[in-house]
Amino acid sequence: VDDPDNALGKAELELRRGILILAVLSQLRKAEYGYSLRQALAARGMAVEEGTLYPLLRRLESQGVLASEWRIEDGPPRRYYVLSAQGKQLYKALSASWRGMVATMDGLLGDSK
Amino acid sequence: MNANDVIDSYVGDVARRLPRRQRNDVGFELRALLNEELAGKAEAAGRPADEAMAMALVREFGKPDDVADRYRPQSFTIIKPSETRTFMTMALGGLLLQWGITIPAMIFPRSNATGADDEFLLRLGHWWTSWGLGAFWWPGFLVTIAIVASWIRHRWPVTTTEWRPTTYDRDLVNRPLMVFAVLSALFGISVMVFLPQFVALMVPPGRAADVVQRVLAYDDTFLSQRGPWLLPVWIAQLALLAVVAVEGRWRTLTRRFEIALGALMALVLTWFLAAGPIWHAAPTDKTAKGIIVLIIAIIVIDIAVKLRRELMRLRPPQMSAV
Repeated sequence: VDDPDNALGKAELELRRGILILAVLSQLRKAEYGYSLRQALAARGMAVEEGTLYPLLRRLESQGVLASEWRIEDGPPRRYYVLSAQGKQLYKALSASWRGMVATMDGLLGDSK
Repeated sequence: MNANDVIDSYVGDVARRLPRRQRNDVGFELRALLNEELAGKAEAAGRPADEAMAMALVREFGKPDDVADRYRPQSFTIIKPSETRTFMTMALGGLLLQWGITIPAMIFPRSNATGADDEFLLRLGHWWTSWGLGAFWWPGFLVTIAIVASWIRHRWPVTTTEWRPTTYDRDLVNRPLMVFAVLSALFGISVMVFLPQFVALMVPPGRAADVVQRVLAYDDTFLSQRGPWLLPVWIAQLALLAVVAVEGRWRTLTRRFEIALGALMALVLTWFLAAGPIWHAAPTDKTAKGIIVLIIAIIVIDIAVKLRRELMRLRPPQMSAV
């Protein structure tokens, strides 16, 4: 049996894992490269490990959700990611689902008070 | 080693584990990102990046194997979690079965060897390089089949077949079939018990009949001492089948009796094999014992299947009183 802290850590990790894609999509309405995206997410309270985020960008790109290109803008070459047309649709649909879930969860958590 | 060397080495290790088409692009991007991360950490620490800082960064990033896995698109699974236990049982069971059959032959060789230790070690060495290692063909064969099946599932996913409830009731007994089985078993047992008389009835008197009688004659010691032990087991099995035929379905109790009697029958037959000749004529005895080994194997498999079904039955959990 896990100790309470460990159980909380695991449960929170699962929770964050579930919403990570939506969090990433939300920040890629404008083009970002890996490091700047991580900084942007962290600045808004969503710290993501680099070892999780960078491979995720590649996987989302291979699924057609993101488009990417190499650019040189005041610094070394960087790969910039942005939502593709399919990614925009997914972001819209996921946002709606998320809002629905938040409302549902608010109701559930309210009931348990 | 400076910080750049650490990152280059790490990126090289990750890239080596990636598909060829991804290797260069991902490696280049990963190096750029790690360098930016390192620069960020150095800035936060207020000192230039060094080897220790780079090591801390890549350790936090993850082991190259794990990172490469995260970069890979989801591939197909060779053995699904729901099939893992069955696969393990089949793979290890097959391996142990082969060893179980070949180890006794290695320990007790047919030739009248002296049994000296060095000879045993020689036999052990020979066994290991032949049957011992050779038995691993079975798990390898299963893995190959699983790979092919998994690839086919991945390549041509089945989308049309839907789950349907099964209406097959395993416990329900087909009475006419059961009666037929009991009568057939009675006939078979009678033939075995009264084999000489049966031969005399079927084969016209003459030289051929004499030969058949000699070939199929039971060993006297077997007939008087060991053979009779089979009768109570047969009678109990027939009585059980008769009870089940009358009741119309198997119950937990009758199933357990069936398993126990099967185990008893396997034990008695194994004893027959080990205790001495069953038939008087050596060729008949040898052939018949081969058949008995097969029968024992079938009984053991049947018991294993029935035990598994019994264990997989849904039983009500323990309830606490309210």
